[in-house]
Amino acid sequence: MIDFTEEQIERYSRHILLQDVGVEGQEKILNAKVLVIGAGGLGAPVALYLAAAGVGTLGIVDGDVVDLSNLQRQIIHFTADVGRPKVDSAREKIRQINPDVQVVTYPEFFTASNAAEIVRKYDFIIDGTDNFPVKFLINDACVLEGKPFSHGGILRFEGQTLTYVPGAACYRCLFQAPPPPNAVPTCSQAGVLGAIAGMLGTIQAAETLKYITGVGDLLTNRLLTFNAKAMTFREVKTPQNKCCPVCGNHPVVTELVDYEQAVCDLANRV
Amino acid sequence: METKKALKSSLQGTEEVNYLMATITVNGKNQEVKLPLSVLELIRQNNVKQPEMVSVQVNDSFVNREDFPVRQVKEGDQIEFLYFMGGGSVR
Repeated sequence: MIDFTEEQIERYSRHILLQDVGVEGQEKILNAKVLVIGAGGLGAPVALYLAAAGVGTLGIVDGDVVDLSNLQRQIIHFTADVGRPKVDSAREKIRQINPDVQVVTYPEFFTASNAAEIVRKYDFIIDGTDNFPVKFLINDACVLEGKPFSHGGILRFEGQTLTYVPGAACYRCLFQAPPPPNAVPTCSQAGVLGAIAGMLGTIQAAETLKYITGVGDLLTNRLLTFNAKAMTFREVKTPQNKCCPVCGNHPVVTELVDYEQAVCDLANRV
Repeated sequence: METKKALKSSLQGTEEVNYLMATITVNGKNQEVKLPLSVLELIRQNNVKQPEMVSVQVNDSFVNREDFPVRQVKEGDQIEFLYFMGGGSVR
């Protein structure tokens, strides 16, 4: 049982007022540990909202530094942060929003060699990453470790997201394997409307809080997609795929692998 | 459904071919299609970019890629094309 200070009761009053959340729900949030992989377009709004909500421990994974072109949508980073490690920039803003939040930073990229060890420490994981090899790695790590996570992706004016919990459809139920490098355009090639990142990232944050508090229906066994040009939202039912390579009846993916990165991304990383 | 007959010439002579018109939905929108029609042909007809990477669902269940050329579309089928979407910036 947490003894809320008066300040906390005031800070979280708008959560506590919600019948579905209350003091018990806020306590769950304060005790929760959430991992945000990627402190970029999606990770930024997710981290900001989860910090505001009072998630007790936020892990942030990102091996990148802040780039000027990030600022159009990665709203946790400011002009003065250009050139700084993203995890440092993120931690600083999180602590300023809410000193109740402990931030654990991983200034490295999520790879097959660190994935399992990192996800094990958390209750819920957010995919805020920007490339398919690591999206599949996150999926596989969470399925194999039995951890729930939120998958998300954005491009141009569209976004899509689903929530995985053990037993429900995972990302590989929909897409069996990563696309070949350079087959799918990235935001740096095709562009993205900045606010789209907020639209999708905030949905991911809401799903996280719902998971933690047990409120409502998660986006499980369904893919939510939106097109912001028409501002239409659609939901596609995606039951678990019995032929899924990692969570199906006869899994072939039983260990974690680093898939090949896009050639242009690798060249620029060094 | 409407049945149309068409005459088709072949090396062996002429033969009657029956077409059926059917209404299906693709990504939530109605489409009139001519049967017989395979999933692969439907993908082509819809000008899907990068057809080798689209995921296809028929009536809420996924069709394996190797079955695209053989799986037949029928009246009332609800088809979903799912595309990779990943975001990203060059580091």
